[in-house]
Amino acid sequence: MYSKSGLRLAIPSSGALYEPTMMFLGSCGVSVLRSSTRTYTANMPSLPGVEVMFQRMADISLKVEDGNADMGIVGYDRFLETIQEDGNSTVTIKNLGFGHCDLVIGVPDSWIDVTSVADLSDLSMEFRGRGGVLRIATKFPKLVERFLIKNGINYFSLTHSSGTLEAAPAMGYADAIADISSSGTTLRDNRLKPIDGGTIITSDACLISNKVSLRDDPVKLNLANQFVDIIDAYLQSRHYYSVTANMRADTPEEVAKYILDNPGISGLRGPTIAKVYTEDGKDWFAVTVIVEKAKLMEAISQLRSIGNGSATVSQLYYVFQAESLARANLS
Amino acid sequence: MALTERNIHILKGLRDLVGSDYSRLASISDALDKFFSKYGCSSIDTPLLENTELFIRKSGGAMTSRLYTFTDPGGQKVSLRPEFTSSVIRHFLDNKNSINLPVRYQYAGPVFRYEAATPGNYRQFNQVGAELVGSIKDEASDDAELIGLAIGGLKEINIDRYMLRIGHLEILNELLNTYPLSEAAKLFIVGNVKEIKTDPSVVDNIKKRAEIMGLLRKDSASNELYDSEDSRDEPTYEYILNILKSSMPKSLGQRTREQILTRLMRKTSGGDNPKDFEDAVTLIREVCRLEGIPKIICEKLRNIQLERGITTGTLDNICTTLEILNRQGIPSEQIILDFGLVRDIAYYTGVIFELNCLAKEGHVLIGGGGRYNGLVKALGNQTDIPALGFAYNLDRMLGVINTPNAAVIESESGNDV
Repeated sequence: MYSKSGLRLAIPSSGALYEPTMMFLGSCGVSVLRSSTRTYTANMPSLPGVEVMFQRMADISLKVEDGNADMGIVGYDRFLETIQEDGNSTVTIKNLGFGHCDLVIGVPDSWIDVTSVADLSDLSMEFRGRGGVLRIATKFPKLVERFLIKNGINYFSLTHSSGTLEAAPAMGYADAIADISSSGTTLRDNRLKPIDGGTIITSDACLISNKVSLRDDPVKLNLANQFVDIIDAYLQSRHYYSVTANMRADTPEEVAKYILDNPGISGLRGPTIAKVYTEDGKDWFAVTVIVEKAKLMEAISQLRSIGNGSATVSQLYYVFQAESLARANLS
Repeated sequence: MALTERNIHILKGLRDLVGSDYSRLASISDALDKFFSKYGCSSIDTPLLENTELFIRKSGGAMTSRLYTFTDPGGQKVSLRPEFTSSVIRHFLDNKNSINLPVRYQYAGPVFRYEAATPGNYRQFNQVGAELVGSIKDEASDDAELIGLAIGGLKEINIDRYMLRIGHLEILNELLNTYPLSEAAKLFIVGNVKEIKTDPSVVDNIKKRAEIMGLLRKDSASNELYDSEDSRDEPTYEYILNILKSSMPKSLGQRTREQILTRLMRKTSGGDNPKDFEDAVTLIREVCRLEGIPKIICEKLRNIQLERGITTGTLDNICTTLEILNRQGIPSEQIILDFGLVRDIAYYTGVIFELNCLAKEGHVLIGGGGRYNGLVKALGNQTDIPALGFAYNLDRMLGVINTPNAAVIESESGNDV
């Protein structure tokens, strides 16, 4: 399995994260070329040297941890459940912007007396007093156990189940469940409800790496750097617009001073200013700044208030920062 | 690299003891063993593994979350011991018919706590300690005797420049008992003393959390309803129950409708007055910030107690303990009285104390203990038997002794607010 030739990237072969992962990589400009849905390896034409391995979601963290894959895209919840303390795998980019879900505790609707984790703690004592134990079915025993103990629930038993958890209380082999929920519909359909403070973890798809296998192989590390760079630049670009406005002024310095005096429109580093040659010979300048999406209208009105001109806004494809936190995570 | 090709290293937070460290630790342990034997302690070694239940029954969540717990091949849930006290009491209960009270035990060996692995803090560390089960004279004298023994052990291994910090959990309970609060609310306040002591905006924060936990009434408008609970109209109560029953979804799992409704009624009729809760937290904050020279602190607490009409019995006991310690030659400038002192283990009930030493990395906690009168009963005895004990962390002691300029901690008398 061990190859010195290229960077092995493990991604989900099926399930809820398969399509979004393929689409995400395509949007980043590193599409995966898979000849058929039955093949389990593929290439990344724009990054030759990257070998894509399609793996079961539950196996990806393990493959990266044991070095059979160098990087992987996996749900953060799944990664935390599998990760070993002091292990070799690490999170390189925690939130890839898709695959959002919560790991939540669901209790039967009929428990009208249970609305919070504090109730569950109290109830676990009541069960124990009657000689029973609170049984919770889950696919995430490690995360759930840690959460329950942290919340003062000491008496419980976890039923490991990889099938349809939501049916466990109805079938009678658990009292409550802890499972992934993105909208709460499945819980409701199975006559279960979430409780206050019962969100164990909030998760998105994340990029993980085996720091040892990358550190030991310069070819892989170089490929990993390029791959992380392009993903990070794509994710960064989602936060910004490029705004170009025409402004009246006597000198470019005058424009620069005004822009730099207003932090909302001064861009990532500062404005780019170019002279605009007009028919009437008046002094116009084109100013280009990068603006946070949430502050777009604020920036436009500030630019208008001085320039009295027009502005165009365009979507960015990539923002390559001088220093990338994601790249720093690799080394 | 595949799994089989990798080197296997020592686990995080653990260490190999070799060379001079090994022999120094062994000699400290030996010296303490001889000292405690001279004092009349009989040695006990308990298993590394115990039924998990032993440790969670009274230790509380903070300790439980640090247990090394696993299922043994026979299917039993077991834990590596995080301390000796529970095992010693378990032994006592297993053999109580053949043991005459009072009995003194001493022990030495490794304990395991899964904590953040920081320098000088190990997940497996060695404890040496002593426990007294039963009563020799009276509570104040027994407290002094045991604390004196803990200090004596330090002197035996040439740690003269220690700092003894003493607190007492009963003081906070007595103050809380002057408010009409539920046991759950009082436990909640005591459980958050660390935060109450240090966080200036604690009153609001803690009140919010208590509200979420359902400890407090939602608003004062409904007080009348609750206050008239004694004269509750039974037919109306039954009527409400019946409506709820008929509109409830079908019950799932091991709970019956009756159990759910009983708990619901208990939950909705309870809850403390938020004003009482707030006043209690404010007072507890004032008291747990009392910290410093014993004489001054005692006086301040006495004034608060008298103001509120609380008997000063517990405080008098503390003063007696302090006097005895003084007569034993423990300098009062090496004692800090601290009514905000709490320990991580929840089984303590009375006096608690900590032993600190100054090393190059700052104050190092090298030992501590206290009285745990409720533990014997909690572990299954019909009646309560008074008990108290302490343990040193040998690995931290070793660090302190290895530090060339081990010096006394600056007296914290300035913080006696």
